[in-house]
Amino acid sequence: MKKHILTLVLTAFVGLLLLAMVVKRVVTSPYKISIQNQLELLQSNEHSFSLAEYYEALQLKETDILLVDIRTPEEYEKNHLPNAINIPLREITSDTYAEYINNNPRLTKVIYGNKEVDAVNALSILFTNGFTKNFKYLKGGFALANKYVIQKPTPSFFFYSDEQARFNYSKLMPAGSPINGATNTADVDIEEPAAPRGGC
Amino acid sequence: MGPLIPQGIIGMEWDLLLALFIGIAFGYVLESAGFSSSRRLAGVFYGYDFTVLRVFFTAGITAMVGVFIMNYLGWIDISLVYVNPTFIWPAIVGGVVMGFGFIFGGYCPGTSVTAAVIGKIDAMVFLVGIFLGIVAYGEFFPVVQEFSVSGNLGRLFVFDSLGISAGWFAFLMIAVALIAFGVTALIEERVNPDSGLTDTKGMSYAVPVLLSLFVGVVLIFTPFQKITGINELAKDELNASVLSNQHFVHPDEVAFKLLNDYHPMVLVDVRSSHDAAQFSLPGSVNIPLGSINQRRWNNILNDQENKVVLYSNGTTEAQQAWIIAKRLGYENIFVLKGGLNGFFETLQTTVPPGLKMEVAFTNRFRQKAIRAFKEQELTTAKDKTPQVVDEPVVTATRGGC
Repeated sequence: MKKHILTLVLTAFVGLLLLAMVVKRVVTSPYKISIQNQLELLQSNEHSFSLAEYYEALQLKETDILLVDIRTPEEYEKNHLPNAINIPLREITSDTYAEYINNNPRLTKVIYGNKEVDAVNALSILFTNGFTKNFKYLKGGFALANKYVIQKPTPSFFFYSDEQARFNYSKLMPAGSPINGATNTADVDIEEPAAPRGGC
Repeated sequence: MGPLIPQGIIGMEWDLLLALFIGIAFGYVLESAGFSSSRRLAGVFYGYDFTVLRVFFTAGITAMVGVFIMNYLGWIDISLVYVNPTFIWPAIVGGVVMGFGFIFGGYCPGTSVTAAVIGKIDAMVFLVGIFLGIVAYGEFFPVVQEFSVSGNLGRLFVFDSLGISAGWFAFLMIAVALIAFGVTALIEERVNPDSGLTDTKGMSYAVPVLLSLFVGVVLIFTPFQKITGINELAKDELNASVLSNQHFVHPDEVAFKLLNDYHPMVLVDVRSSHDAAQFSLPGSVNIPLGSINQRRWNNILNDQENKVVLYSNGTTEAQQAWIIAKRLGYENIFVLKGGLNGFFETLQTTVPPGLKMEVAFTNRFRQKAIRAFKEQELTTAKDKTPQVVDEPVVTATRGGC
């Protein structure tokens, strides 16, 4: 067995090298979540908070939501949703506001900005810093929530989504239907070879 | 030769040259393992020599650990690796035929070539048999054609069928291999006491066993996903570019592109394929949000010359796709301001009259654009042949030993 010692040592060395690289990647990556996780988190519906849910929460005496206004302090001074706290988007991960971000595991923190997109950005930044639980973004943003929930509750706006199609696009641009132009690559099946091959 | 050829690092013409070197190395390893001896190969069926089992288990596990770790480090993308689809009935029949041939002839195809090269006459006869078999199969293929593709189960993974994670399967695989090594050593000792092939006592056996088990335990906790973060952007840079909000393209610019083709732009529809089948901007490519991190979109998203503009109905989904694409390291990525809603809203809006000339120009352009869209005057965009996406999966590695 003596002649195998060199092989054993070499194998062990290469194996440990590879393992060390894995460990290094885990330990030193500044990201707290992988790309796949981030994509799944961003995509999942669990992280959106509709205006209807907000309206319901307003009717209750005690709620477990904390509204977070990520607009600038000036905008916040001017007007904000009732009981919201102000954490400007740029400072969302700074130590000043750490107690609001970190220390309320019971509370669902609902983030809103001028637009839905701003809140999505805030969520993405929180996710990459490892805060993946109990954060949601308010659909529609501040202006709509203020107008159609606080001032004049309008049920037709309760399920507003930025992603709803507001026009019949095909009417405005008939040439845009994919029959004429767009390639629908997602529908292209990956060509499976017809017969089995390979083997020893 | 994956992953170099599917990822375009070297050209297809290298395929045969690399195959030659790999083939020589493979033959050398087979010969060193003693696989040019038909006694040794057949020994696995009679219980006096299990070298075949040990070598193939070791090779499989080495490759498995390598694929696992390199996938985790982002060196290879598992979605580019060709996985043989499982044809269950032909596989069973083929396995039985192969097994009988193995016992009768004492070789499998690869080892027969190795043995023929070192001058064994029985291996040369075996090779002649192989070629006769190939010719016969080719001639009679129409008869068995239907059967040869029956029972297609698609790409099947054992860990999916068992409902466990790939990491656990890797661990179990290593454990099963180690147990098999021990059991077969016992059988060898019974059947052939003085072969002395395996030494199951002492440090030289215990150390590799413990080491492999340790690797197996590490693999349990290693995620095995389609990771494409090869040029992953640093976290601070990603968050800074998210905050700077400078990646929006104005609807007028996109409309201008659709009407005049000399300013090309890659339009990417990130909505579901169902939505995209209803409507898409002319010339756009559909990359559903959930699949944007797959490496097969590399050719489209990695366009250095033209702006790559993502859009959805609104801005939210496109922004999410943008964040992921940015993190993946793509540079030339933009988002259509306001999405499709904003696009048509802007074109229907008239800018309040002002003193500046631009206002009049803008309004005239928008009216012209919306009329052109309605009357299908998108001459340039319409004639353009749809972009064909290279499907690298097809060119990926395949084959056996």
